[in-house]
Amino acid sequence: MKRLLLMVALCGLAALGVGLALGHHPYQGWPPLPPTRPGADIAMVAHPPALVMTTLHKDCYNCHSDHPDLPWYGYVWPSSAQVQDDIHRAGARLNFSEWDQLSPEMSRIRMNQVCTMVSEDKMPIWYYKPFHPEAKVTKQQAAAICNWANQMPIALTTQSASR
Amino acid sequence: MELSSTPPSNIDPAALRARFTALPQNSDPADQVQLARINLGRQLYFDKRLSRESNQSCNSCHQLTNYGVDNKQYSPGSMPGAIDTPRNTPTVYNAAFQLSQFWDGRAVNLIAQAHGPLVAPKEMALHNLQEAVDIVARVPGYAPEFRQAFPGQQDPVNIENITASIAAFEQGLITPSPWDRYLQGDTAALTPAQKKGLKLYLADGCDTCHAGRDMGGISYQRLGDVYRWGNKSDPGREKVTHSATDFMFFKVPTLRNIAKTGPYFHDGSVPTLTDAIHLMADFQAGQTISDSDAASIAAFLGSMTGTLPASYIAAPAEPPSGSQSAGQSEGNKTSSIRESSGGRS
Ligand code: HEC
Ligand code: HEC
Ligand code: HEC
Repeated sequence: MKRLLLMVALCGLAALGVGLALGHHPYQGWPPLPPTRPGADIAMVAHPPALVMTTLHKDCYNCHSDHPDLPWYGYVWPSSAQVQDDIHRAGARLNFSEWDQLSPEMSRIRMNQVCTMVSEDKMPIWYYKPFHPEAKVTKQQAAAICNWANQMPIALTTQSASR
Repeated sequence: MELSSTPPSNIDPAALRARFTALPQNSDPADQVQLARINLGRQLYFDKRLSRESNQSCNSCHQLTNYGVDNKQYSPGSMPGAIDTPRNTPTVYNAAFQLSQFWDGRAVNLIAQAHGPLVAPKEMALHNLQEAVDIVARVPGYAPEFRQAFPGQQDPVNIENITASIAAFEQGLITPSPWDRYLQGDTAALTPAQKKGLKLYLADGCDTCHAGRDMGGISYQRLGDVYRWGNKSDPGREKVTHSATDFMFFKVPTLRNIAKTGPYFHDGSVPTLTDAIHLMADFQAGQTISDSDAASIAAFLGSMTGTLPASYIAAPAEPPSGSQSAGQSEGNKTSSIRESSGGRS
């Protein structure tokens, strides 16, 4: 229900908002702002291949980093409440800027989820895509993410887990 | 509320294995040295002489027949009148799989961890680690065991070997459960009520943090991730990293045997599992859930109550304190050693 309301509200706002608000709050997803703790970023902790990293930066850091960037409709009632809540939740669930908080086992689990989300075209979140067509993850990018996720090590013994 | 982005709550074991891993079965190692180390570690784990008043072993707080805990909010230490430990005692079962030890992750592994309690004023309260070595060295029965467990070493009775043995023993403290059988493909291992709870567990995003082999223990997360937590007297990981961004971050605890290891949270403030689940849903997942949903999740978590390894954890005979060495010195310590070994059951 909430989702339907949000969709209606967004459609109404879209026409009115686009010209007016885009200038006032330009899309800042690319290039991303530097992370607060550079050493904690997935780029430094897990060293993903370049294609994976640029995809995450371009398409995901706007919500899943320590510099979430609200799209313009995140400032405009009635969509603002839902969008702000979502951004907050997105960062709590998956934050590429705090990768040092994860063990190798969790790092792999998270990237597996990321793989699922992009392969099934579920992320970026649905209402983001019409406004940010550049944030579409291609098949090739999704494959690069999944390949890398599958290669990540997983601790299998107590010995290595308590290393 | 489920967003279109939320993964469907697919409870097919094969799908779950992307996020969860079954525990291995524990078996004695073929390697004789490793086996000797485990046996030695077991004895040290149960030895009360390793505390200031010879009244406390690891097993006093982490009771192995009681899922590795004492079910107290705070455990009393060795010294009478010493203030209680400021944190709730976590279980030692399956602890080896965690990314680090202690609520704030300040010990990188079990070996580093085992140094802590021996000298913690509120725990076993020895004056320093050398005192632990001296105590062990005074027990003649330990000498051949150390030689067997650390062959070829000139002077094997030292603190590194004491802690390594305890850690070797702890690595075998594993509790496979119905949940592991389910993950391995036995879909009858969970009851219908537990399967309902599993779906809610996934839909509410508990697995964002409580996943992997231990259903936790593999990341640090802010307590009060979506909404701010009330009691902020314990800064958590900030004390370890000295980084303000780590304020209120804790190691996500394992949910294995969780039905048995209350009271809950680092401050042991919550007595019942369903209350703990309600709080988690509110503060970590940002969802308010009904009482019946919380009860379903509790039923699912019950499937992680494992089988205790009865023979592995049977209390060993304590190596006797030698009568000659006890007779030689008149210190309090020797007499308390004598008392405690005499009073041992
Ligand atoms: C406009 C904001 C936004 C963008 C951009 C975005 N996400 Fe999300 N993401 C969210 C929100 C909101 C949630 C939480 C959904 C929920 O709670 O059900 C989420 C959840 C997720 C989750 C699930 C985490 C969990 O533990 O359940 C994954 C994985 C994920 N996003 C991956 C991605 C990837 C990969 C990208 C880039 C390709 C991306 N997201 C881009 C908003 C966004
Ligand atoms: C007085 C009670 C007490 C005694 C005795 C005690 N512990 Fe603990 N133990 C605790 C408490 C409390 C914590 C949590 C402390 C913290 O996180 O700051 C803990 C934490 C641990 C952990 C970390 C578990 C995890 O999930 O992070 C392990 C492993 C452990 N103890 C093993 C031992 C061993 C081995 C001994 C004996 C050498 C021992 N303990 C003696 C109370 C005790
Ligand atoms: C964002 C990460 C996160 C999410 C999501 C989360 N938890 Fe937790 N959970 C934690 C942390 C961190 C703690 C330790 C809190 C503390 O310091 O006491 C914890 C503690 C617990 C405890 C108490 C464990 C103990 O040994 O005392 C239970 C039970 C629990 N969680 C269940 C759940 C359930 C059920 C859900 C889903 C509704 C959930 N958690 C979602 C991070 C999370």
